Amino acid sequence: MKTNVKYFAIAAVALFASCNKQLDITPEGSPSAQNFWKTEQDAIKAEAGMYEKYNEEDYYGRGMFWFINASDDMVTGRNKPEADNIKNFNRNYIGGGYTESQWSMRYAIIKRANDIIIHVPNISMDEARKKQIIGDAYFNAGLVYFQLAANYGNDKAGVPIVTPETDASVPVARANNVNENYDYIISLLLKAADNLPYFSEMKDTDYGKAHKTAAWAYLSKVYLYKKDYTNAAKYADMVISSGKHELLTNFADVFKAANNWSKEYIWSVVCTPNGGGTGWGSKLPGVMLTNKAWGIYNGWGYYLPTKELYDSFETGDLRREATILKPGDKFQFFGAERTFTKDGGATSNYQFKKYMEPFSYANPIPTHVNPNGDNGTTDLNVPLMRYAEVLLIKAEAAINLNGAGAGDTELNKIRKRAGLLAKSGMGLTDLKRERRNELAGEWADRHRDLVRWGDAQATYAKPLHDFDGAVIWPARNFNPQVHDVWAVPQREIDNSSGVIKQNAGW
Amino acid sequence: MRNSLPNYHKKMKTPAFKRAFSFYRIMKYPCIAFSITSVFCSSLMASPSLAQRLDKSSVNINISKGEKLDVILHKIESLSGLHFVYNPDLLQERNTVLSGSFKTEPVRSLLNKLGISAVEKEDYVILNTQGNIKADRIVTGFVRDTLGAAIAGVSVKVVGTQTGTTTDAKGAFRIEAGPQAVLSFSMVGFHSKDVSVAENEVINVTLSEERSTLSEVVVVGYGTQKKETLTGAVSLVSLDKLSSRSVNSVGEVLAGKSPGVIVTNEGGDPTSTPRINIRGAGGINGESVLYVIDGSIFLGTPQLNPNDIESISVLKDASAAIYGARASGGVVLITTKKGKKGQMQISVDAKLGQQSAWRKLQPLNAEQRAQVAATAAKNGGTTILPAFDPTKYPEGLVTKTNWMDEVFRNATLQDYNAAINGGSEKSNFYLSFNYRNAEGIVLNTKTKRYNFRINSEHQLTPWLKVGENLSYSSTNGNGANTSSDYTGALLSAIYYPTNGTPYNADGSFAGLPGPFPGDYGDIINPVAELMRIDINNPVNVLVVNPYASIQLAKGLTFRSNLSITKSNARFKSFTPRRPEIGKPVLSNSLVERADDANDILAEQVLNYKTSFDKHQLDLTGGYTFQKTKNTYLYTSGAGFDDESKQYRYLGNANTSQPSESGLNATAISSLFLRANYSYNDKYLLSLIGRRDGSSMLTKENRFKNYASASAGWVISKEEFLKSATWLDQLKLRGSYGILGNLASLSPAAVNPLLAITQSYFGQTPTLQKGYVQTILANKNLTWAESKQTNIGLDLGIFNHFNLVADYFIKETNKMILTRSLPGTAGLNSQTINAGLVNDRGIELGLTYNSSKNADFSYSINATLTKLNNKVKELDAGLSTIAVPTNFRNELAPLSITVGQPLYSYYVLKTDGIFQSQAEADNYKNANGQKIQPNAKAGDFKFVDIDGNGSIGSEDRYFAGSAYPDFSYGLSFNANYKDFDFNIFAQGVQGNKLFNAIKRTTYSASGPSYNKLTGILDAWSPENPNGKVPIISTSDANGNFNASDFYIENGSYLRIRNVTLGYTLPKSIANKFKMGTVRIYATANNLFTITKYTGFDPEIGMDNNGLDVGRYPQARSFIVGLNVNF
Repeated sequence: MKTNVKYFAIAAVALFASCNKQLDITPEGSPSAQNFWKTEQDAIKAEAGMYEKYNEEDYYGRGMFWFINASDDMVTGRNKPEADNIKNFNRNYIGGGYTESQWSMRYAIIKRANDIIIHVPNISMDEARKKQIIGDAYFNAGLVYFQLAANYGNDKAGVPIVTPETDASVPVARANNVNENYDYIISLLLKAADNLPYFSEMKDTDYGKAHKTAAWAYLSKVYLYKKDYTNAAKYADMVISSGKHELLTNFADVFKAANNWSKEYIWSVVCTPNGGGTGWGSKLPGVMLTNKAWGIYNGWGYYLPTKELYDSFETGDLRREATILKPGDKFQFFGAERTFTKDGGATSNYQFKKYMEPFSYANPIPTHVNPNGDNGTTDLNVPLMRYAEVLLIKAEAAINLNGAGAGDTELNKIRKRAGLLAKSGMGLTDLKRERRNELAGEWADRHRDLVRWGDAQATYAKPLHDFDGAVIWPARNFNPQVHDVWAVPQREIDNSSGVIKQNAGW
Repeated sequence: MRNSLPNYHKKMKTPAFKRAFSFYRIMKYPCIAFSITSVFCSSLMASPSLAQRLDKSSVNINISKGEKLDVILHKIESLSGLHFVYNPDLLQERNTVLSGSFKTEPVRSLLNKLGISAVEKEDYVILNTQGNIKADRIVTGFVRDTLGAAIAGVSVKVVGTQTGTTTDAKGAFRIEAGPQAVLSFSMVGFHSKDVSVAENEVINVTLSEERSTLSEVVVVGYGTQKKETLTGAVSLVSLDKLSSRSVNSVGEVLAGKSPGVIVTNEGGDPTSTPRINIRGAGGINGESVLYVIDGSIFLGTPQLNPNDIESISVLKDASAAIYGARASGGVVLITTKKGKKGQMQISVDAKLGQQSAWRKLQPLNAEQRAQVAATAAKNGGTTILPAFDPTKYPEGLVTKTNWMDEVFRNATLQDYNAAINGGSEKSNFYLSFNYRNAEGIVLNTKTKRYNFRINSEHQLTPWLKVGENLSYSSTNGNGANTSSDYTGALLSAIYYPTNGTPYNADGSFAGLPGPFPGDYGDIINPVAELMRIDINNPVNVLVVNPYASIQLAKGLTFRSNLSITKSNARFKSFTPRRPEIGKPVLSNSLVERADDANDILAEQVLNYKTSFDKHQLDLTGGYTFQKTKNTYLYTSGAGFDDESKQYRYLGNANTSQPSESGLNATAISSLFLRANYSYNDKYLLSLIGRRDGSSMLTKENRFKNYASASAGWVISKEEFLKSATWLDQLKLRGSYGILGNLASLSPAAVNPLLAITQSYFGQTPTLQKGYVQTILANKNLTWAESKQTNIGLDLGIFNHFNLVADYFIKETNKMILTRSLPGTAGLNSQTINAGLVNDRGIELGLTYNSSKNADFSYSINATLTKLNNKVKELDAGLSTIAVPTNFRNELAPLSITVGQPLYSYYVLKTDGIFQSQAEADNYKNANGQKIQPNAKAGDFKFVDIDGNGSIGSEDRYFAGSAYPDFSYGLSFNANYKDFDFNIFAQGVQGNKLFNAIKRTTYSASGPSYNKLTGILDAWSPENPNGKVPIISTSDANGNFNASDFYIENGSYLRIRNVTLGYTLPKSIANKFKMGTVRIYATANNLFTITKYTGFDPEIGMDNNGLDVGRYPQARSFIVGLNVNF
């Protein structure tokens, strides 16, 4: 009997040992970080991964557009207390939903870019492709840092700088000031420009990925924000003298899907109405479309123009009617002519027209417009940087360096296309008007312009008006010592165990 | 093979072993194959080989006076190796009068001294106990119960003889016996008692009533134990009239029935299953209860037919360590019914019922809504929206639809059950079938369930028993979306304008009404949304569980258990176009998903029971291996030209999306050992050890040992309490152990895969897949540790009262914590071992059973659980974790912070409403600045908790959590003649709920949805005592930011169940040639006492107390008929 038991025990032990081998299970389904970063395809897939967030509503759909909405060009079209509080520089918006993820999604892109910067150089692959991918990583990192630095950083504190070597598990403190950020961003964008090809050298299947003049264009914008006008002019000039870009003849044509990749394109969000099952890209066209779109589609009716913007255009400026719809204006919608009327409850009687082309066609769904009205992406790529803005940056830098008239060449190019007469001796006032009128309702960011020009306090001290002259937004109290930056998302402060501090005064 | 002790490594003589080993080598899963091979081995081991030599055997033995004869015989057997055969009835309860110490005493001589003659036959010895006890007198006496009442019909026997009698109506008896004789008194319902006659001629006896709870045998995991000898906190769940209720899941069976077991309904959706927590949530990631059904671990929540349940016991403390790593959340052991020896029995049960909502919320009517809009515009300095402006749209003031009545309905419920059971001496079977079809109380929601079970068991040879439990369940159902903070069906029903209608005149679904639809906000017609649900989601689970039990030697049994669970779930959901104004979607889509799970559990368990003198030892040891594999396939398409039913298949989609598939496999391998020792049933000790290995961790961290120890002292068995007849039982218990927990760990935590992304590039945008890292790997991850301490007391008095009290501390250390990384990490999360959460509490279970013999009998069962949890520490440098749970991205009130209960609300503190502008302006800080610069009359005053002179995130405070202070259950069962009655109440006290829908329904700022009537209590100069801030389109003061305004008392007392049954008298039933016939009526959730103002206080814990308009519990009325043949 004892023997039996002994056998039994021996068998059990042997069995236990063999079963332990059964515990070696490797997860399956996609690569793991250990077996990735080996082939050219891996590099290409990592590059594609950087762009995932471009589809998020809070990235280029709304997100930081709530900050742009603070300007005098537009009002929140619907009752939305959180948006009101942002526009009114009221700290009660902190912790709300619209702006809480602004940091984390941008640092995700930075992380992905940093991974490429570390790993792709070691992959043996086509060298041209390798350079382009590495350049793309530097570009994307630089661009999102710029968005963060400009909105959250000032001379009192910058935003955290995460380098490829940073330990992901510990919180990173904020840079001392925004200039540290700008210098880091410049170093990234310079490397991007070095590595990236010209757009004209890219395969049409790669359109939408970074290219050389885009890096230069953002370098010029970063230098402009840094008030380093010499370098701002230098990099704007590099774009201009590259011969790769020019303005389209007709301003309204810039906002046609057919011209997504025209010579005026420098950087935009690739958009498609039906990719990914629910569309892809920026839903800004749907967000700006009149609420409920006269019962035909699901416009959200959020960012509506003001009389201030409408009236800022010079008489005869072709851009005004191409930018704004007002009561009585005729336009095409879903293949039929409509006369513009506002939605009953809309706060303003205007609507931005820039992103309306996709909706003009008969049966636009799903070729031009997303079938899901809750996600109003279209086939129009939403512009982030146009050649016109590069000209404006050049002009602004030149005027600042050399006084009135120094930017006439660039400004007149823009005026000419707008159907306006050329002027000479144009100073900052002209520059500011042209910049406002050219880029209204775009990601170029009028609010940030007013802040960096020092005009925000005076501008926001005046109420905003509707088509009929009624006040639709009361005067606001902008404190340049506090409101030059936005509040750091509460979530980042909470998640950093106190390492990240709120901007002073917020 | 018994003659040699071969060196296993040198020579293997035994062909059977060779066979077995080669067999296992070629098997892909040797661990599983063992279940089969072990059957081979056992047939060899059981071969009879023990020769008997009665006359050559002698023993050294101590026999104490009064020791039971059968115990002595057991001892002689184990000392001598002899095998006795005897009629146990004649020996069992007989105490010996012999005592003394015997050295090398021949066995035959010893047997004779005990009054037993023996005959040797082949391998065994036949014992005969008769003829040695001579009667010399007549003994008389009375038998009474503990209250002194005479008991009639007590059987009185002279042990070891055929002599016997019964007591008469006065409890008196007369019997012939000799001085050596032992009288045995027995009666059903009472403890038997043996009395030695000695020199007595009159013997009066008091029999104590046998309360079922003490003699109950409790399933404790890999075995059973007498409740009397339990040392751990194990409770047996009372199943009062379970078959009269109609329950959706096993969780409902447990609710309120067992102290320490907290069942939380996750809303009332027919497809949702309740959450069960034993002694707290067990840390941040939570633990789930481990289900063991008929001895086999079932991963997940079983879909059982409640009528199949024979018993449920719950291991709550360290005694669960026998299940090691997965047991820290407690173990629910369910035993299903087995066949019974005797005539075949057929039982049929049918129930029909109706369910409805017990409370609907009250939205404003159209006129009130317009009023609110006008007030809001006036106070906010905006113009009234034209949709609410009677001058622009007079029809907007006409109430046409009560949306609550449109989305809720009276739903029917059917539940049928049939069971057959029967058996012979050697085989028995149980067969059952159940069908339940319950409509939900929200339109177009339902759940359907089929259950099928065959349990059978066969005694093939005296030493081999085989059996199987086979069950199949199939569920299917449609739930409604009531968890989305934007598009939840019940939210939409509140939000939707009452001047709208569900349908147009032509029968199509209507959109938002009138010329100003944009003024109502983005709302979906809830009726259309619900009616469009087209979901087919069958989940089929087949459990095949064969087992064999082998008697290897005396007291030594081996059980091999194999359980194979195969489940497959299909999900097919078609979403039609939604053209109407509101939130139009102008295309349609189809999603199909297939999930398969394959789980294999193989367990080999040895059990050895022995006793010597007053010592009893029960050893259980074994090995288990479980491997689970889940695969899925997901595919979808969009753009169906025709939405007719017959075209709702993927081939008709104009665009197909990329499909996905995946695999998730895990395995766990364990050794365990348990030793239960008892001395005289008075001093009890139980030791458990277990070693677990998991595939989810790296090789270095894979194995972990767990152990527990528990002890009990049955004080009532001590000499000094023997005379206390009022005391039935008094036992002290204590246990301590360390258990493991991998909680919701996924293999991706240690070995994360890259996430697959989509992005678009190209002149014509084309999909490009990408891979990105989203999780930070943690190679050092290991098991969380759960240290559990328990002190308990079992008290039984006066035969009727029973109290079980436990105090416990559960410390979950090194929690498996999926933490959000700092935003700058650029990654979503990392799973780490960190922190310490403490659950401590008191559990009380009180039962009272009236005398069973009366016409009217009743029992009361009360449970109370008081439980506190506290976060003791988080990771180094980490004092708080923001919880992402939120309402519309606008309210995120939850926090996990050191020193607070888990998931506490962390919000601003309101201090009333400013009655005037002056009051608001005078709310100033030390520097004379306004603390709330934007405040006006009617706005909330917030407390400047940090005293920095302004209101901000630093002014948040902890305002409680959704965990109750205590939970309780109370059931009352009564029988009067043929009537039976059961009432069961259950409640929780002291929990706080965050009524988030106030954000959109008590506020006129934000989307201009319809509001709840609660908004009418808003402050205004005319209503200065209003509790809701001023009605305004603006919220510059942040009145509706996360504050204690939303936090409500979530306590409730709910009459869960009332059942009244009537059993037809036998005479009538027999006329119809039936056995028992019972008709009954049941009401579930008959009424609820609560102060909570949402739909239902039982919103569950999956949203951590944040109520977004959750599907409420139904109230149901059921009638049923039960017939037995």
